[in-house]
Amino acid sequence: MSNMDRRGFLKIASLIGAGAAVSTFSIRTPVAATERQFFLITDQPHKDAARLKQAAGIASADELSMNTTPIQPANQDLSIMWNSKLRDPLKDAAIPKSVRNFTRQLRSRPYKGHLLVTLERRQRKPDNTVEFEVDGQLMEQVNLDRDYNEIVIPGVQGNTTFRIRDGEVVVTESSCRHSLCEKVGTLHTGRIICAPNKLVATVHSTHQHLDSITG
Amino acid sequence: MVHYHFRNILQRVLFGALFLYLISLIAGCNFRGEKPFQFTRFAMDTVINYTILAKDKSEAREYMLQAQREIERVEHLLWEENPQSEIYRFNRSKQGIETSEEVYEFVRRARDYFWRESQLDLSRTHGVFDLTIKPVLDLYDFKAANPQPPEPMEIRKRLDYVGMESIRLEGDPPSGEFFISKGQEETGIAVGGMAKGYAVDRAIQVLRRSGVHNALINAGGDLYCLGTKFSQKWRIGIQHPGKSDAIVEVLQISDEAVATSGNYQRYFMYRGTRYHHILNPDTGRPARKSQSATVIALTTEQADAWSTILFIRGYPDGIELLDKVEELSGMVIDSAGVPHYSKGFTSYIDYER
Repeated sequence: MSNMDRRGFLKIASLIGAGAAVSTFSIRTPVAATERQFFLITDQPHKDAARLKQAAGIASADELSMNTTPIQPANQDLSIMWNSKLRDPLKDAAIPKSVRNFTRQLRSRPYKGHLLVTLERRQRKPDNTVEFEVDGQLMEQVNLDRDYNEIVIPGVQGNTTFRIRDGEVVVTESSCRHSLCEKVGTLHTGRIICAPNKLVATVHSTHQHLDSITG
Repeated sequence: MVHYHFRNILQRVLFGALFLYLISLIAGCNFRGEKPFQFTRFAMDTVINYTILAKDKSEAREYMLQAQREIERVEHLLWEENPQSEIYRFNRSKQGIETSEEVYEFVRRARDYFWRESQLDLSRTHGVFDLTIKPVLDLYDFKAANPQPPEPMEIRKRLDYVGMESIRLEGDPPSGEFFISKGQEETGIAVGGMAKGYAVDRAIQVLRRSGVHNALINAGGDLYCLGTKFSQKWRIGIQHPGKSDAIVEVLQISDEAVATSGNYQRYFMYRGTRYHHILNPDTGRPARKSQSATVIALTTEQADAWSTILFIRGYPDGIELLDKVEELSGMVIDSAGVPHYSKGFTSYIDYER
């Protein structure tokens, strides 16, 4: 799966036979409570994905990563997976009204091609933590399931300020001269190091199965 | 009677102690008695990560402190930014200095890498692994507030001082007298391409002597994997050059070293161009062929030196060179972001990550 723009989509859509008009789409919210997946079959992935996010009540846009891949339609029925159950979006009461309206709109639209869009909510395990160490001493341990505007860690030279948002850690202000740590950017796994302050922020999460990292 | 009683107790205590000792021996052979402990320390301008398998934290900590002391000793001896180090004094001397055997051997090995590399590729007159790049490297101030690339004239002028042939080694092991001398006053040595690797090797040696069988030391990306972790090879991720939290490949390593040179480690941006710390000694400018180069070798020092060589030479030159040396394998990510592997490298990759 790869991210694709609208031009790229049209290219692939023409390859797989854009004439086959299908109006099939499904929304699925499955598996673990911490992770939600949506499958959407559409010819306008970016536009419809944004509307789906809105309809399903997902507030921030960057919470989702989007993958698009062309598919052959399995059937022409309009179906929707909601909370792991196959439902009729227009009759089932469990489906939010906004999603129902969205479904109706999609159905009435004439389709020229089709594409599967997968939206995955970035996995945010509640036990993901960030540890702040100064000169080998654990200073602070913070859970990543909450947002923090400002976490100030005193180092050898001065303070370093971190921010946590959507399970990601970023340095917003650094006391050291060259501020290399501010260039690191957001991090949802790995480490931020500030050598002058002898400060290490380690995010424990998806790469936990690795013993070390070279680079 | 009292005396007999005393002997009885003594016997029991002795037997008990013997029994406990035997149990601990059995447990010592069994990896299940050990747990991994992690420590973080700083030296040589970088972070040092230790993972040591030991019975308890205090034991692991003791081993870690021994290893850290060794790394700090090496830093004190040859880190060029340390005013007490011999390399610092050499760089500021007029004709050279008398050195310890350790520093002498270090520089000799650096010259050997340079020669080995030149012998393997006869299409070039000299190797690219050149520690005497120091005068040119000094022109790049990576720590400045608003760094700027040096003037081309300035680079050309300083390139005259660069060249391994201007370093002369005169050593006499029986008498214990070692000299490193230089042709020009401006000639200097930058140890960055080898010192961290050497320090890790020394620290691993210390751990081995203390009876540690399984440990991992990572000095800013130059790492050595001693033994295994619970009978499984150590799993090492190679960092993505563009994204600091992504992994390119996962390697399985045991009793070998891995090192990576990347253009993202020390750099500054100037007018949209990235100026990083790995300079091509031919031009005195940052090498442009690669984004990152990883080498697996028997010692960390070798991995460190060869990853620099692979980075500067890039693909295909660098990979062809590695294919000629049996004990080395490597991977280079070219400037377009495409990875290239040497023959032996793929056998280390864990495809089921």
